[in-house]
Amino acid sequence: MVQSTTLRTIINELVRQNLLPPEATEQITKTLMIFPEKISTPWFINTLIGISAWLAVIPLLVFLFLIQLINTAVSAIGVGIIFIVGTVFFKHFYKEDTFFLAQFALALNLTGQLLFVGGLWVQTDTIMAALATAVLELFLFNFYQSSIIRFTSILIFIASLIVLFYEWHFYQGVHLVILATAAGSIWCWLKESQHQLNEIIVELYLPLGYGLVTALFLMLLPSIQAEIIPKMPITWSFSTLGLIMWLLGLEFMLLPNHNFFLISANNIILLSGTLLIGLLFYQAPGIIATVIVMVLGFQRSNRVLMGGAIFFFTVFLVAYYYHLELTLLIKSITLVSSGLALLGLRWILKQLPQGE
Amino acid sequence: MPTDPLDRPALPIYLYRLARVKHLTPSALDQALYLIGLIPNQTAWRRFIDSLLLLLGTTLILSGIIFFFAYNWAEMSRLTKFGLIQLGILIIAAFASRYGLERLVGQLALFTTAILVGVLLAVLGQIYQTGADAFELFLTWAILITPWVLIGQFAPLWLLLLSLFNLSLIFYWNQVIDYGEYFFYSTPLYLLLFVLNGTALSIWEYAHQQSVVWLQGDWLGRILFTIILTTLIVPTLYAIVEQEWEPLLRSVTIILYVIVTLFSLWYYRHQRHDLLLLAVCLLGILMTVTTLMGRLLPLEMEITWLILAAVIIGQATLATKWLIIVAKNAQKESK
Repeated sequence: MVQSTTLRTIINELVRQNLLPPEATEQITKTLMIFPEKISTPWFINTLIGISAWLAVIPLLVFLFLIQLINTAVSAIGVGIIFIVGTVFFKHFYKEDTFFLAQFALALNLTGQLLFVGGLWVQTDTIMAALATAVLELFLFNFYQSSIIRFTSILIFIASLIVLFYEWHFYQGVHLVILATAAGSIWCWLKESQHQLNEIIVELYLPLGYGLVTALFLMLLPSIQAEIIPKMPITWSFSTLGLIMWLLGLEFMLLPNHNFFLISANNIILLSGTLLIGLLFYQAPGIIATVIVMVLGFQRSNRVLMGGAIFFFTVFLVAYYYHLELTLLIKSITLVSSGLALLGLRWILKQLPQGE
Repeated sequence: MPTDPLDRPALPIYLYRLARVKHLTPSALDQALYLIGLIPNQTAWRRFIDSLLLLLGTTLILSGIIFFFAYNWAEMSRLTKFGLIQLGILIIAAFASRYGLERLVGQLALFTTAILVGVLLAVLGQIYQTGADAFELFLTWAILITPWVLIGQFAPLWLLLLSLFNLSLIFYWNQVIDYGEYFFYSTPLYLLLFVLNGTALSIWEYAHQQSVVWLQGDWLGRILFTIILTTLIVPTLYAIVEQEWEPLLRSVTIILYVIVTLFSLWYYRHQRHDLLLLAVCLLGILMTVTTLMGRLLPLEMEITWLILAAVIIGQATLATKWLIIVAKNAQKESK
């Protein structure tokens, strides 16, 4: 995790390593003089804002219903569009917004989305509503300058894709969405440093990254038990295969940075362990996904990612073994063998000298 | 704030800013992030993989052992059942002793042993059908593992012990004191849970202040505080919704909730800065005030719902603003 040191120490070290010219120190000092000390908003404050906004939607909807402004599907669509467009314009042009107006706009926007999508669903059909939702969320992600809206937009966009595949009876399409979401998560978090250099992406990558990771976990929850979504036969091992490929790719990308050479004992053990995990949990892609997120979280010292990954890892692991259709004896043998194999890998890793 | 900006702490946000204005090349940025520890080095990775394999491997083996017992359970004699569990306790306790309680491996082994004691008691109750109430199982379990908890110096063990005491209390109340009543509506039980967990939190806060090494992580204190607040908020909300201000205990709970919230807002702002717990307090206030407003205003009037929405948004706004000011002030004070 992040160690306590000063900018001077870091700059001096970079100069020593010839990654910075010595005269850069003066320019850096001038830049920092005009850049005030800043604190970023902790995640739980954003969570509090998000929860409050969603809570405020309920009485707003009741109010609109009682004054009979949304008593038909068409009126709901109309009011929804007005709310959405109005709040987008507000966020775009009214830069001096107060907290209260920003919160109110957030609640109105969420209300507008619910009214628009709900009205469209009643007026037309599920497919049209899902298509419109996907387009709406893409629009909001790009144009509504709020991390919370962008985060929920990602979740709703992916949900609308799943609904579309369900309506089109293309059930295995969910694997495409899962793998694309996982790939997006890896890109978001692995390239975090590069995103920071881009003025546009720096505003987008955080809600995108967290949204993709959350969507990935939520999409994989039904893999816990096949009967959760009736009439939706999905071969979850397809996702496992794809996610294992992504995990191996991630390891290949990370290893050279830490002097783990591709052909080395450490590397072979690591990759064997990965394949072993994939084999053990071929019916539980959720477990592989949580390992990917755990690796990403550790790579970026991101405790939120790591905490989420550990939580969902526990859920997926417990559910996997609970629902295995094997006798208790076979389950027992499987579990003990798996555990011993992993401890064996750990022991082998410890025997190898560091730096090999 | 330091007069020379280079004496500021090397936070990622400053490094990213420097890179964005092209003072740092991408490779210089990565190296800087590596130097401040944001990007872990090889040693950190080895430790991470080692811990992951250890935790996962141990969990799978333990689960396998439990499943094995479950499979053979019906055929096993009483002696075998007891013998196996006791042997397991002995072996794992010896393992903990061998590796030492200052290491994570030893501490996890001790934790596992504590869990197995519960398994042993459950088997005892199942075999001998003593007719004992559930609270007796949990209380006995808690008492038996107390010596290990005291020597373990391992926060999760303390949480296990506290959980057992909580469960004992809940089951005792449900099965002995208020038999047949759904405990969810029992205000005296919530007050007792508050006293139990409040005592635990006070001890933790004291130990934390005394810089007891193994209690320096904030997670335990945060869990305890959330539990305490829940034990006060639930009966308060119930009193508001049902509009029952009697009996006396319910009124006491509400007053206690107000006092605890005000004290916590002061304590976690001025004594031990914890922004997350301040946010938890404010979320509790938001829920309580909104519920109260909803109860006092006539719900059949349309304007009531608009007022409720405005109240929620207004509270969230004030809460967010205050938390951000507190965070900024705390950062200035820490320099």
